[in-house]
Amino acid sequence: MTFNSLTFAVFFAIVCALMALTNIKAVKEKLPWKVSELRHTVLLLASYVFYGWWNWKCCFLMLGLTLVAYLCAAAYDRDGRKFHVLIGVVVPLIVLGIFKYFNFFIDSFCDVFGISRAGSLNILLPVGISFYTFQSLSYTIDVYRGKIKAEKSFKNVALYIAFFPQLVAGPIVKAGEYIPQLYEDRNISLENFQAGIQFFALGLFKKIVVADNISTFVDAVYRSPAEFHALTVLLAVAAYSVQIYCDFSGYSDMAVGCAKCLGYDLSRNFNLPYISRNVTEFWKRWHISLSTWLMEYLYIPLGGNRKGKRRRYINLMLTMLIGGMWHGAAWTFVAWGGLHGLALCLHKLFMERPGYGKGKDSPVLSALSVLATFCFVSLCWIFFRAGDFATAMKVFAAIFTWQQGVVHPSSWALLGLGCLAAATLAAWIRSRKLGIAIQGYYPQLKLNTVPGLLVFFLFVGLTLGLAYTGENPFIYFQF
Amino acid sequence: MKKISAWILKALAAGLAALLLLNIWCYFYYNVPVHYTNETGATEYKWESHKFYRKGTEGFAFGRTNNEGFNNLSDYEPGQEIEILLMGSSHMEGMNTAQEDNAAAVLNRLFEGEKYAYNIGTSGHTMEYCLSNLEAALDTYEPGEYVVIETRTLSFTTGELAALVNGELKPIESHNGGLVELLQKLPYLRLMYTKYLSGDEGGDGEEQAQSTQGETSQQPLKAELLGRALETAGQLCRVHGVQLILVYDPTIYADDQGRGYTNTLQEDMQMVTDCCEKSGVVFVDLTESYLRGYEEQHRLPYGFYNTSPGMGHMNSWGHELFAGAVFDAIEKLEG
Repeated sequence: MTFNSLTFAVFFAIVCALMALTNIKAVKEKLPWKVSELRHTVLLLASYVFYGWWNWKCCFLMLGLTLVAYLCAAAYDRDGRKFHVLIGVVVPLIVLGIFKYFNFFIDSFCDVFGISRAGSLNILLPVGISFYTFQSLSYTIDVYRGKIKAEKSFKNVALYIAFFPQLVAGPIVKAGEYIPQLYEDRNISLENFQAGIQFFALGLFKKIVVADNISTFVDAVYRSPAEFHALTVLLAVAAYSVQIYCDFSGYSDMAVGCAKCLGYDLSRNFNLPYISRNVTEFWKRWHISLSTWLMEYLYIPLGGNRKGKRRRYINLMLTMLIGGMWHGAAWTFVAWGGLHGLALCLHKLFMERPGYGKGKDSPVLSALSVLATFCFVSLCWIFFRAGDFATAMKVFAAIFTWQQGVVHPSSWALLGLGCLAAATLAAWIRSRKLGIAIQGYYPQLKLNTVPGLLVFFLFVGLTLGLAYTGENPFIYFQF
Repeated sequence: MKKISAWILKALAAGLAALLLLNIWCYFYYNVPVHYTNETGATEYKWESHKFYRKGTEGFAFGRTNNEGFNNLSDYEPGQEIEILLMGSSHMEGMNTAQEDNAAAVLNRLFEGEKYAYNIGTSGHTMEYCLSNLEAALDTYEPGEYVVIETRTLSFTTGELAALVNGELKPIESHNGGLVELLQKLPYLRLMYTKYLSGDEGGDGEEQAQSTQGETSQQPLKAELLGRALETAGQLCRVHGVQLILVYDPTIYADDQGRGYTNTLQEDMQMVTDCCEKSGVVFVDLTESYLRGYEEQHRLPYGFYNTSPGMGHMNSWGHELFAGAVFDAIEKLEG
């Protein structure tokens, strides 16, 4: 069940209807227990139904991880022994390691020593495992750090880990951000629904119109890079930057929208990443929930920048390599993470030079910095998108040898780049008007007026009309 | 309650206005005519006559059907002299390319008025349907010299061939009556139906070559059925004094080194070549021409800038090569 499916529309309508029922005064009065308990129960059950739709057996895995997090945090809260925290951290990591990385390491070991591949496990990678593992870790560590108290209610921990809008592809919500919301009187309301449905529609447009249509072109080029002209390959590389952004940020927008409809706030996961003037800024704008998670739970515990320059660079590289590996069990992801780590280190080195920052207000210099960062990020995406190094090298070779081949100026790729430029321009105009730093925003219509509704219906109608309707799962589901 | 009722009224008004505007947009984006059963039997169905069409989901072309509902630049007058009758699927029909670029128009330019080619290619009309409709087509249009049938695949299924030979080919239905016809006239609803319900956005026979590969064990039976079908067709054409030409337009793929290839099975190619030879049908294979176009000019005969490169329907380059190959074949036949 994906957000862009009819099944999800029906599922979400049922959940909304059930949640709306709990707003009725008569229903509230007749309940033998607190209304918030009922709401949380409905949401928890819905979340397990949502997850079980892929594979019901995976629900037990998520339940198991939830139990570990709940029990370890409760035990630590009771006696203060770090051992409980250690269990709460190690067990999810072992589970993630077995399901996601075991076969990768076995196969790599066999390849290095030239022995036939043996001992691989025939196991299914549960969808979203990387996301909910990180959330369970976040809960245990936040309790250990004293940021939040250990929850008495198992239901609350289970709902935090399984909350369906963000379950399978984020944003990765930190326990301290979400659990307090469970103690507030939050539920579906007309205002929330009007805002949420617009976030959702915007995300749907990004996913099914921009990302999916571009994917038909990008997939063809990556399937056979030797077939195409260098310019076409270059366009596909740039187009993939748009595709992955619209795919992933589209999902995040839909997740934020669904949560908003139900009365919950999830933090933004993207903030115009391609206007970044350097890689450091890029990671403050791209997949914000992952980068802050890695910073809080990996980079800082490793010592961050508190243990000297050399350690800082080692910590940065380690964080980015692990961040790369988090995306997938393949050396291409390690290379991608490594390149970003290297760029971050170089940028930090550069920042330490005297005179750094001079002329940063120059529009020409800013534009050149944005362009250079976009080019670097796009070239790194080649490792991310290519299934293996051989394909990645063919893509690089096609570009840098000015390969001759089929010329295909994909209109969807050009439109996607155009949409990105238009959205950036709109954000820039808005920032100038409000006198604030440039940042992404959700345009909001007044859905209680006829013009507002008309524009909204037109937008949804165009989205459905222009959508790519072939099979195209969300890119981040595989992580 | 009043508040909710007011909101519902506003939503209804906005919804209706949005639907109207979406239909106006769709008129220029995706506007496919309604199809009606063809009473002559020359094709299973034909489109509305003199109807503006646009298939913006694949390609950028637009055009207007002629008085008969076929994709030709000019109308058909009963009794009009036609030397070449073109039959085939949506590739032959060519609604995804500009009308002046489709194979019929190119052929007419190549013959410079010496011969007139008339295109009754219609979506969904695989070779089996064309052969099934052949007699009616010959009777209706009485072509003077040639009938050209386009096929995207040579991997025919025994089931379809048996149905053709036994006269049991399932007719392609037209839903042109009552409310369904009215609904089809709303382009936005038509687009929604095509995208989300019918699932027929792709090109005819695109994947057929692969899907029938498991049938190779039935090759002798297939050869026999195809032989009988082509024999009947060839005989029919001889009675009408025309030459039947079968044109194969395969999809071109590229391997990981960028070399072009097709999915054509050697045994299928041999079977069709043999059957055509035995029944006096001229077989034109576009494989070499398409591959040469790809290797030398880096151009693919299928696909558009708004679809996956090399996939889907025949583009103007494909139509040009197609028409050129038919022209060459006719020149060769006429010495």
